[in-house]
Amino acid sequence: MSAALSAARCIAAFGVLLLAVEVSAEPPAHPAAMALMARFECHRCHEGTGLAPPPMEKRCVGCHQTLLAGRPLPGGPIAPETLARWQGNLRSLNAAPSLTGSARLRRAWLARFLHTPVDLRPGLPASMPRLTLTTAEAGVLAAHLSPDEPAAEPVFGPGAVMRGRALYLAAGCDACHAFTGAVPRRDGTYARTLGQPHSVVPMADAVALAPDLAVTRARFRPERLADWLHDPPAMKPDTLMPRLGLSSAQAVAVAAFVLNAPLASVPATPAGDRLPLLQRPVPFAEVRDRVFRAVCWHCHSDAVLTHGDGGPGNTGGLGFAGRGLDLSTYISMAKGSRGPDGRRRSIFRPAREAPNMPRIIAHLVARHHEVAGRELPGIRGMPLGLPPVPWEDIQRLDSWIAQGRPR
Amino acid sequence: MSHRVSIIVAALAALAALAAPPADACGNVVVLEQRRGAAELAWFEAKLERGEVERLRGHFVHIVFADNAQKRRSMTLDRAALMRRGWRPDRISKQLLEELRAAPDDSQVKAWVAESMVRRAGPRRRLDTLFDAGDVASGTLTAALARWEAAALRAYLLASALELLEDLQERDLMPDAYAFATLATVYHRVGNPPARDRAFDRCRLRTEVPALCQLL
Repeated sequence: MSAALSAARCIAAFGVLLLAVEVSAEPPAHPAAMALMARFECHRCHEGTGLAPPPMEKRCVGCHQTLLAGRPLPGGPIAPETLARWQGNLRSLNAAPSLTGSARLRRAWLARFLHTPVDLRPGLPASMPRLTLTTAEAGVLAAHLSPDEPAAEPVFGPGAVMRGRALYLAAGCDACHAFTGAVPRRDGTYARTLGQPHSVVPMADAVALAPDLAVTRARFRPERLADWLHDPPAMKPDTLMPRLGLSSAQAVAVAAFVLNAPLASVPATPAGDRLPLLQRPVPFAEVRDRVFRAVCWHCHSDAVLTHGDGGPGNTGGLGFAGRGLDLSTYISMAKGSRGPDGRRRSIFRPAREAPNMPRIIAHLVARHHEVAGRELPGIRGMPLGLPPVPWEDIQRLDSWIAQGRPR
Repeated sequence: MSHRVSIIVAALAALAALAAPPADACGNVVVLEQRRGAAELAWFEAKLERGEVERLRGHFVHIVFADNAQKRRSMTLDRAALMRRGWRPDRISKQLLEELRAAPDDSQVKAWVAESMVRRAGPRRRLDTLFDAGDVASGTLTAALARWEAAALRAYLLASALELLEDLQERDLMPDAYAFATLATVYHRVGNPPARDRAFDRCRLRTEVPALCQLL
């Protein structure tokens, strides 16, 4: 009977999975890419994947946006004081770019970015997470998102860069965009327009999603940049980039500036280092509140309480098979994570790849290294795609572990 | 016997008929505040961890089971609570049934739950199987199981408990203070006082209630 029930549950789960990956009305142009999108659950964060939206319980950004807007979740009404507290805690994954209009991007850059993401949007706390995509899979996705073959790069006339710089500042591009090494983003109100008022866009989201334009020359198909600047919604209907009122000639000049402006070298961001262990006692409540419940348990949660979905770091998701790691309580984290051999291992013992620190500390340190453009080989940075845990909080956790993990 | 089978079949059929609710990806954050069943499980586990077992008397986590995994976990918790209230493992089934019958909302399903709970907790299941079964996603069951074994006062079970707990300790996977108290008890019974005292030291480190750290 038990086996029959298990089988029934598997069938039901498979049915749910099929529903979750059901694609929208238009047939997918690239079935292999769509399968990858479904496997890596791109639609949990992004619109415009071509997949049917997942249920709200799986929509990271959609759920946060729903809460921020004060709309009810499927589970029922939320008490106003609870909602206010949650809203105050929502710092990451409140916005994500849609994947529509990706054909304006260079395919090779997309493939690299998908495989080894970099922080592209300075105003967005979260960045594209490092998934388990192979380079081949990243190539398949990139080809799907940007199917056109490369075209000849445009040649700009003399003086275009200088004219473009003036237009760039006049149009107020720097109100939303950083252009590292060329023009910093300025704080202040929305820029004035050249010819007409900007369409009304949510300013905070526009700033959050605005990429650093220093990356544009590697990221954008150069022959399409002027058209993009002239009329962004024509290329990407859901973009928050407004029509700036640039004429075609002005758009070409701004494109010339963005693609060719000299970039001053910017010192690499230091990754920082572990801080010495604290001498004072560190209670569990302190590391729970500062680390585990501030970040970790969103993806490493209790699968039983959550009806089977313990998050990508526990039961799996975003392409991860799941490590069975539940960081929600003192006891649950003591059971460790599931290693590649299927056996449980402590997260507080050193990993083979980082023998001088506890495994969980190594993952937190690795995230600092990732943000600084380096890697800790064999260790995936955590929290996945989110800002690193501050060194002071890592120090707290490090010290608590060294003190024997007192309750 | 046939009556018991019919109860089990009826209970399984009833459970199978329940539509599984959607998963809650945002996990503990949303669920603990929005879902009564989850909150009750968490409350029960917190009390259990602090050794407040007398407060759990008559309070079974039979809740309105949202799904089978929560049901199985609640059975585990009930059993652990009963053991920590001093119930003898070999009598736990009968005692549990009696207590369930006295509960105000007694039912045949609860009786079946009690039976299943005891039957599932046999001491021979493999550690990783227990860990990964999904229904026992915390180490609590392991500690409870070891305690059961230690309390059994049978030589072959005592050796089994020692093997299980030393393996957990070696791998730094001891789940809670109860596990260390159990290990200390086992060391005491096999005549190893230094190891017993070290286990008690660890026990006191792992609990907010040091009084829990005593021989079983």
